[in-house]
Amino acid sequence: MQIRVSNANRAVPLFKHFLLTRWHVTIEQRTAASGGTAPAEPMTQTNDGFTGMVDDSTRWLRLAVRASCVVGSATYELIHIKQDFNVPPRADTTLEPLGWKKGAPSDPIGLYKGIPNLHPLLALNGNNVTLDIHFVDVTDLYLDLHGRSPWFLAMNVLRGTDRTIRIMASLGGHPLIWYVTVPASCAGIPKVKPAVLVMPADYGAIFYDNSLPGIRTSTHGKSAGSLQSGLETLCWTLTEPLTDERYNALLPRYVALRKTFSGPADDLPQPLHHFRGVLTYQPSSGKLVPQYWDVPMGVERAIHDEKYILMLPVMNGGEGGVLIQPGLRKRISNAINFLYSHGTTLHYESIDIGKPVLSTFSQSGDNVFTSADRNRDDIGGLVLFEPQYMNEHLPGEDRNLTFGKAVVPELLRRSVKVVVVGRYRERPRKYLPDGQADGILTLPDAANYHLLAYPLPTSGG
Amino acid sequence: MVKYRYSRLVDGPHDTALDQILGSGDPATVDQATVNRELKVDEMIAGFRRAGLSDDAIIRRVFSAEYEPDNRPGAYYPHNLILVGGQTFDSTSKRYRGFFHTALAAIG
Repeated sequence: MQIRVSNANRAVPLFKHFLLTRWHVTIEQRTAASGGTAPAEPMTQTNDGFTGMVDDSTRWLRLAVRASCVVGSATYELIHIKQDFNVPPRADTTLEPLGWKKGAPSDPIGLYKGIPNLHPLLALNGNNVTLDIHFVDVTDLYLDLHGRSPWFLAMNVLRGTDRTIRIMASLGGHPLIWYVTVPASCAGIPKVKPAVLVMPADYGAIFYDNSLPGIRTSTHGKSAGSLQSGLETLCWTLTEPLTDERYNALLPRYVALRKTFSGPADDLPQPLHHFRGVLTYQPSSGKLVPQYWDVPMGVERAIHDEKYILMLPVMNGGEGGVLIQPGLRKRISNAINFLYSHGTTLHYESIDIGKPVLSTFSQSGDNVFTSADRNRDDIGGLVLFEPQYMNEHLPGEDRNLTFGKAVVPELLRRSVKVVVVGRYRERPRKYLPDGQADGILTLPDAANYHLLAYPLPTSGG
Repeated sequence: MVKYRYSRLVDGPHDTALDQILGSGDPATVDQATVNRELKVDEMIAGFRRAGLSDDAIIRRVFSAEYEPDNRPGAYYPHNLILVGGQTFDSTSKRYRGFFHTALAAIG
């Protein structure tokens, strides 16, 4: 009997991807009579996968799929799947999955999983095993390249919740790099809820190639002037504004850390008091300039309390790429299943992955509305921070993408919750579909809208 | 965030973090560049006051529309602050709940 291992997704150049240059696919076989297991034998590579022969007497086999990336003298094993099968005695029957190994590629033992009995990144059709892989975890490679980034080091000092950050690479194209943050609060629960935050080209995006040199690009870790590095954006997105108590506790360690940084001060993490909710000011030419961009967003607290996994793609400019193609939910689920199967970050017995919530700020409305439009039945919610592209184009915007006014009503009809944040009363035509808020949750809400104004009421705010 | 937009301008002396920056005797927490910058901020605010500006006038002067990315009225809570702002402040923990947090809670 012949078995085949092939690629489930034409849009993913799995066997020719620049991150997966070294494949090693083997089968081990055991006959009923001997009870012993023959040594693993490599399968034969073909144009579109691997093939191997199974002896008629074989009743059990283990398929092992490994793929690695070689960078300089370092080898990073990115895929490691071990799947066991029963082989029924009749030649016309198909493989029966028994169980698989859950764990990091570097873990020689792992945790054996029998429920479900098929690895979440495999599909089985007769004796044809397909690899369903859209993402791989490149955390070790990425941090070897960029882990000394001042922003990454600062972020780890400032962390306010227990969470794990993994760096994933999209095999189907840009956005190539995705920062995935798993709060401890949802590492061991069955229901996994993803939230995808899409940043605009002019804030939070970098420019990098879909290639290994693209992953090595210094702008992942080094900011330059008004261009935030990828890790600066992650630091700013996650960090919870510091309370006075945390500020006092962190100050000596943070000051010591900053003294190890070199380079232009404007490109480095700012002094600790800028990471509070208190706005700071920069003296400049006789003026005090509010440092609006320094206050961190604090998403780590939100995802911790609400039990969401945050996925922050590092945008290549405004290129929507796989983000705006149909099949988004499948790809997001695939990324989470990769984390689940290739490590211990997610450790519940089995997981159920919900529809992704999409969030946009400003100019990235174009990508988020287009993605939602092409995935109407698979969106868990929208969070829209003063989104552009709601009703009309601004000068220079891409005219091939979908307006919010076309897709928001469709989502509302499907009972999807849509949240618009910002100055929707002053600018309803800009931030609300056709200027209407019907069915949309708006923030600040009616009781708090005055907070956007000045002066504040005497009661505070 | 809302609560603290202007506090550095009008209530700096009561900011414990600034006490740490400007008044700390602990060498481990001294960052001279930061001290110099915040002293300059203090000096400019004092200059506004010597010129007779009230709290309100200082705020209106600093929060002028030129910092507003889309250059329209509303500079007191501009486009970028929307992303980090929130409407709920817990006076016990001194934490405010960001809009993103409120939105995820509403979606469930």
